[in-house]
Order: sequence, then C-alpha cells, then structure tokens
Amino acid sequence: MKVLRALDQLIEKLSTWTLLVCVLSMLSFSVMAIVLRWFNITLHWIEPLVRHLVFLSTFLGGVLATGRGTHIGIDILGKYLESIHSEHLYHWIRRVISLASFLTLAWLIYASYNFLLVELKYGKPVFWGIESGYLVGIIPFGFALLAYRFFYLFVNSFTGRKAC
Amino acid sequence: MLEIFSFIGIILLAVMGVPLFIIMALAALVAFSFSGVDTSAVAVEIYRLASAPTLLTIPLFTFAGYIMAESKSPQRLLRFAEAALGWLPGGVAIVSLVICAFFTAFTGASGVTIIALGGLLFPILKNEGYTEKFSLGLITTSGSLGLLFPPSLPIILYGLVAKVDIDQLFIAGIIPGILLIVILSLWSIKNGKMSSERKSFDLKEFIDAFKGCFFEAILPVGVLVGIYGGFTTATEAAAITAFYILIIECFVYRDLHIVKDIPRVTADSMSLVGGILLILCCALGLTNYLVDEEIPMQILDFMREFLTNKYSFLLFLNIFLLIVGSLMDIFSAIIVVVPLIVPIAEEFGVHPVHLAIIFLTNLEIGYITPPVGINLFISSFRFKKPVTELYRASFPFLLLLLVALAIITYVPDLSLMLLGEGK
Amino acid sequence: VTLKVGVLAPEGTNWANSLKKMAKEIREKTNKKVKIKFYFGGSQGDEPDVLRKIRVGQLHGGIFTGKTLGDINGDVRVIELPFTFYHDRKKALGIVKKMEPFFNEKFAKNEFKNLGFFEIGNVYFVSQEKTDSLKNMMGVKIWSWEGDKLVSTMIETMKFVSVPLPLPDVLSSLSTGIIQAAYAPPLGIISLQWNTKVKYVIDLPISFSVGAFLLSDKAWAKVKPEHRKTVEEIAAKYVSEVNAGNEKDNSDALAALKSQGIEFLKFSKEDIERGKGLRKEVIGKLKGNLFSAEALKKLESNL
Ligand code: NA
Ligand code: NA
Repeated sequence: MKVLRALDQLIEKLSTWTLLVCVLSMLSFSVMAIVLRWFNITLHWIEPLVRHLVFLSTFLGGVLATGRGTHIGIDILGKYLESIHSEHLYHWIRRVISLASFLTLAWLIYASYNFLLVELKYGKPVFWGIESGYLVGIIPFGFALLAYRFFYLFVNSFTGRKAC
Repeated sequence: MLEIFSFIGIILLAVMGVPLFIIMALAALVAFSFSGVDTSAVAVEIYRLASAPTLLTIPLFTFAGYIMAESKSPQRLLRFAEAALGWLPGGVAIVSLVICAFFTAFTGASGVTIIALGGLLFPILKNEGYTEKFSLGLITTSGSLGLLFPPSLPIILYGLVAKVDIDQLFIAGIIPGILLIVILSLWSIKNGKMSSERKSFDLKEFIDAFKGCFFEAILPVGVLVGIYGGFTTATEAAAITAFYILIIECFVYRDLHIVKDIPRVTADSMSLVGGILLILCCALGLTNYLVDEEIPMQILDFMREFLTNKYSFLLFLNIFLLIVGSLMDIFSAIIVVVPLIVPIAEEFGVHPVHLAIIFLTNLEIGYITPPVGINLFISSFRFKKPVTELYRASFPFLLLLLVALAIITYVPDLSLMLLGEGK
Repeated sequence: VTLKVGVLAPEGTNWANSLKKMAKEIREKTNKKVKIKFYFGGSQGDEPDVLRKIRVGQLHGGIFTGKTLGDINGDVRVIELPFTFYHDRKKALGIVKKMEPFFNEKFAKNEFKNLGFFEIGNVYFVSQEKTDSLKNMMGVKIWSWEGDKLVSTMIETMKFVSVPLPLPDVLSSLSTGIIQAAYAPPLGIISLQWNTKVKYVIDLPISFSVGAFLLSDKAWAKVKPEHRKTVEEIAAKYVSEVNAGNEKDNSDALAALKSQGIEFLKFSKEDIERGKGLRKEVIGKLKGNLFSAEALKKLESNL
C-alpha cells in the first residue's frame, strides 16, 4: 500500500514539474517566435513543438485534476446523495467511478498502443527529426498515468482512508 | 439488445459522476466496437488535437487569468472601478458587475470569479444597503457574466469546435455582453437604497486608483487593439498576454513570487485546462463515430419534419440549450452539442456567428439554472449557504437574463452589426 | 462490401458529384456487392488523418492529393516539383500517364491499389499582401501543408516564413492572420472559399498538382475478383470525367477570381530565372530522400 501511495505521489510531483516546464517553454517559444519574426527569422520547429507541448500538458493537467478530484462530470446523483447525507452510498459511488475510469483508460491505452504501433511503422519526422510515432506515444503514456491514479483511488477506497 | 444495454450503462455511469472524458471515450470505444471498427480509430482522432492551430490560446489565457486572480489585482481593479462608478446610484453593484465580467473574460468562467472576488464584493454590497439575498444573487450571477467578452475561454473553444473565426466571435460578443450588464445594472439601481448617502466623484482618488492598476487596466485594451487592429493573431495575443501578466505580477507589483507561487498557479490553471482538453480530445473520438455513421444528417432529417422556419428552430434551440446548460458545464456542452447544432442551424439560415452568441448566452444562463447550475454550488461553497437559498437569491436574475436572451436571439443585429454583416 | 473513402473536396462541387455518380454506377453494376461511401469536405479530417484511419482500418481508401500520395510513395512528388511545367498542363498530364505503371508498382509495394490519377491543376499562390516579387514575399507568413516536405523545403530554401497547418484550418487562419498567403489550384481556391480572404494571385503556376484514388490492399482484397474489373473500369471512366471537369472548373475559377477584383501579379524575368535555380536546389535536397533518383530520371527523360 505504501508503495502504491508513494508511486501516486511521485506521478503527481513529476507531472507538476513537467507541466511547469511545458507551460514556461510554450510561453517563451511563442514569444520568441513573435520577436524573431520582426527580424524575418522563422524557426520551423517552434510551431509543432509548441502544439505537442500543449498536447502533453493536456494529459499532465488531467493527471493533476484526477488527484484533486476536479474532473468535469455530470454528477447529478452524487450531488443528490451529498444533499441527503448518504455517506455510505456516496462512498460506494466513488468506488464505482474510479473502477469504471480505470477500466476505460486501460481500454484507451490498448487502443492508442495499437495506433502507436501503426504510426511507428509509417510515421515521419515532425520536428527536430522526432518521428510522429514517438509523439503519438504521448497518448498511451498520458492515459497510463491517468489510469494509475484512478487505480490508486480505487484501491485506496478499500483501505480506510477515504478518497476525496 | 446488447447495444441498448451498454447505452443505458454509460448514461448511468455519467449520472453517477464518472468524469465526462471517460464517458465520451467509453462511448466512442463501445460504439466503434459494435460497428466492427478497430478502436485505435479513437486514438487517431485524439491525436488530431496536436495539430489544432488555435489550441495554444487556451492554456496561455487561462494561465494569465489565474495569475491575475492570485495576485492583488482584484483589489486594485475594484478600487479603480469604485472610484470611477461609485458615485452613481447603484454604482457599487454596477462596479461589481463590471469587475466580475472582466475577470470572467480572462479566467474563462471556471468559478474563479466567485472564489476570487466573492469575498471582496459581498461585504461591500451589504455595506451599501443591499439585502443579503440580492448580494448573493448578484455575485452568483456575475460569476459567469463576461463570458461573451474576449478573450474568454468558451468563445475560443466554440470557435475551435465550430470552425468559426475566433476574432469575429470576439467582436460579435461585445454588444450582447454589454446588454447583459446593462439589464443587470438597471435592476441593481432599482434595488439600491436611494436614501443612503451618496459618495461624490473624487478626481484625485480616481487618478490614484487608475495609477494603482494602470498595467492591468490597459490589458483588455491592448488585447482588443492587438487583435482587432490586425497586429497580432489570437495565438500571439495569448502568448503576449501571459508573458506580460507574468512579468507585471511577479516583478512590477511583486504580488507573486516567481519561484514560490508560479509553480502552484501553473498547476492550478493546468489542471483546469487538462480537464477541458481531455474532454475535447475524447469527444473528437465520439464525434468521429457520429460522422462515420452520419448521425448529424439523420437528426437534421428528423428535425425538418417538425421545425418549419428559423424562428421555431430558434425557440427550440433555446429551450434545448437551457436544459443542456443546467445539466452540463459550458466546456463539455460546447464540445458535445456544437458539432450537432451547427449544420442544423446553417440549414435554417442562422448566421454562424449569431448562433455562437445565442449558444454562449444560453450556457451563461445555465450557470445559475437549478438544479445543477455550477455557480449556485460554488457560491454555496464560498458563502457557506444552502444551495436552495441560492436558488431563491438568483431567481430574479435568472428571469432578467432570459429576457436578455430573448432579445439577443430575435435581434441578430446585436451580434452582427459590429461585423458589418447585420441587415 | 462497403468501402469508406475520405475526400477533401466539398459536397456540391463537380468533383464530388462525379464521385457520387461513380459510387452509384459501381453499386448498380456489381448488384450492390460493392458499395462506396464517400465522406466529403474533410469530415473525416485532413488527408493525414484519413491516411491514419485507413491504416488502423476505420476507412478503406482516400482521394489524396500529391502531398499525401508522397507520404505513401514519394516518387509521385517529382511531378509536383516547382517550375517544371509552368502553364503547360497538357504536357504534365501526359507525363503522369506515361509514368503511371511505374508509380502504381510502388503504390502496390506500399499496400495500396491505385484506381486512377486525377489532374487537380496548376498551383497558384494567393496572398493578402502585394507579393509581386520574390523580395516582397520575404516575411509574409505562407501556409505550408502540415508534413509537406516538398513545399517546406522550397519555402525554407527561399528563406520565406512558413506556417504548417492542416488544410481545413487554412481559411480561418487566413482571416485571423495566422497566415497571409497560401497555394492551391484555382478550383481549390474557390471551393475552399480562400478567394474571400485574399487580394492577390501570383500569375505564375508554380507546380502541377496531381491526385489519386487509393484503396488499401486489405480493402481491395475484399472486393470479389469477378467485380474488380468492373470497379476498375467504372473508376477509370469517372476519373477521366473528373479530369475534364477539373480542367473546366480551373479555368472558370480563374475567371471568377478576375471578376471578383482579385489582382493578378506578374513576376519579373529575373525572378522566374531565380525560380529555375531554386528548382535545382530543391532537387538537390530531396533526391534520394523524398523521391528516388530513378523517378527523377524518368521525369527528365520525358520532358
Ligand atoms: Na479552427
Ligand atoms: Na481560427
């Protein structure tokens, strides 16, 4: 259990710091591109690099939202149960939510891994000579981080400590 | 049979509160499996997000908005707005509306406005003689006011999903946005205690307050001039804004520490952005299935049977969107509903930009529509009041916004005249 | 068998109409055994997205332009080398016909069946700025199709500014200023409505654009052998109908651009000469990289 918890927190930390690097680099590269254009200089790798930084940030931001329990959902039942103070049922619902999310993400990892294999075979360099196959790898990688966090939430719901 | 069973199962999971991006992804995976297509088609669609040209504006503007909300910028801007408008009857309420609109435009109606400004405005409003009920209603409503002003996140997202020019939407939203503020301002004037002593306009305080918030106050002007003057694209404006705000708050006003605070603010803003963009990319997977099965065409054929003209369509649209708006948050509503509505509206001759404004106004109202309008819950959390009390407090505001919605819907020129496309 | 095919050409264009007729005739002549379902107007995404969807098996084919054909078989791109044919589209089409068996062999090697080459037409630059010389094109933000090695190499060689984007984003990017110039055959300019966002056309075809109707081998294998010949024949018939139609649409489109008050800019003799030099440089960078030396030799010997 301790190991699972430590790993979950490691994912949180790494995502936070990588996000910081991503945001600051997309910011500085975009500003740099604007300034360079005044001097008629274009660096062709900035555009695709920045777009993939946003793409990576999508998943890492999602990883943080999972830890905070702030994912957007419809949640009509949850709000209702909260309002009638049905703690027990609410707890069960949280459990189902984490399990369903984990299983769906596992399916997504499988689906995106298959796409990754295809793209590795046929892909082309996008920037800095990095093949699109490796960039597509962001998808299963991101989903794997998310899946682990939901898995941890699920396991954690059995060991006393209540998930947020 | 199995199909219906899965469909009900997914709906059930959604109602239980499973994150929407999971619901969308699951729906897409299940749907493709039933139609015998390899599920990696969903992943192909997700990867399309990595080539969307205006996507960058979303993290950058949100980052900038969060930095502002975390700094003392709300206090500075409030002081300035009070100095400028405080002498008017109902002036303080109007100030609250304007400030909230400004913040919402920059933070994308994510609840940040109520959290960051609610605590500041509530005592001021009560002090001015407004009832608790009125003050709560006003703040709850203002939490999404300003959605129609640039560079609000919902507008950008709408442009991205519907493939409408973002800068046209930015222009189109200005007059309808002002209309909403004017209607609510008139209501505030009516509810203000006319007997209470009036402050007089103090030029020195006005100038001091303006100097105090100079660098922040010029920002919306800068963004507007930059984009409308054709000096920058929306993407460049986002980069410049985020960079500028970072410098201003960390090194000019020194409200935030670049090492101690910025990592936290980044994480806060990106967890919101990540949540939204995950829904967007998973929805692309589901939309892909709908396109593959030509579902929008079928809905269109179905609707042609019942709706005979533009006006009946618009009425239907408003009722539909009010329901959607009260059940779903604005971002998912845009991502899910827009691709279905756009071709239908085109068929009925609704201008795409006008449609966008109707759409966004509806969703703005959805924020305070019971039972699950999100602002009601955020206010309930922020002010420690039962949700039912907020239902009552914001009800008059809800009615007023519906009036505004009717005007915006049936007077397209409000949205189109600045584009030079009105009749 | 139902074959799902992605197309960028929008619904309502002559091209789309011919394709619909093709699908109808194929369905009838094969007793509904072979159905083709076209997704028009990029509803399945940009060409690279369609290609990816074919590779994961969601779609079965695509009507691709040269850029995406080049992703499958780079040799096709020799046809689209800049400053090769100028206004002489007949000559270009003739060479495509001569080289077709050579190209098809390579398509087959890369697991695709080619049902026919399309003439899309001569490619023109359109711009919001008065780009009447190579010098005036400096600093103008020019669209380059995402992943188009030929165009990005050309633009980089000229030291121009290029902004890579998917094709469906070009129109909105022209109006938001993300780009100021783009390139396409006239019928593309009109059907994608770029004409509403630009003021100038450079009156010098820079290249000859080809397309093809590709089916994945996996999909083609599902078509019963007795139907293949029928499908091939009907496809060939409509490919020539499309080509004739495209030729007319292109000249109509040019006339429409003129009548809308879009200004046609002429390049000076020196700039055209520099263009020829540019062609050599681009070939030097791409030979053995994007296309084979053999393909280039075949092209040059036919010129
Ligand atoms: Na767009
Ligand atoms: Na745009």
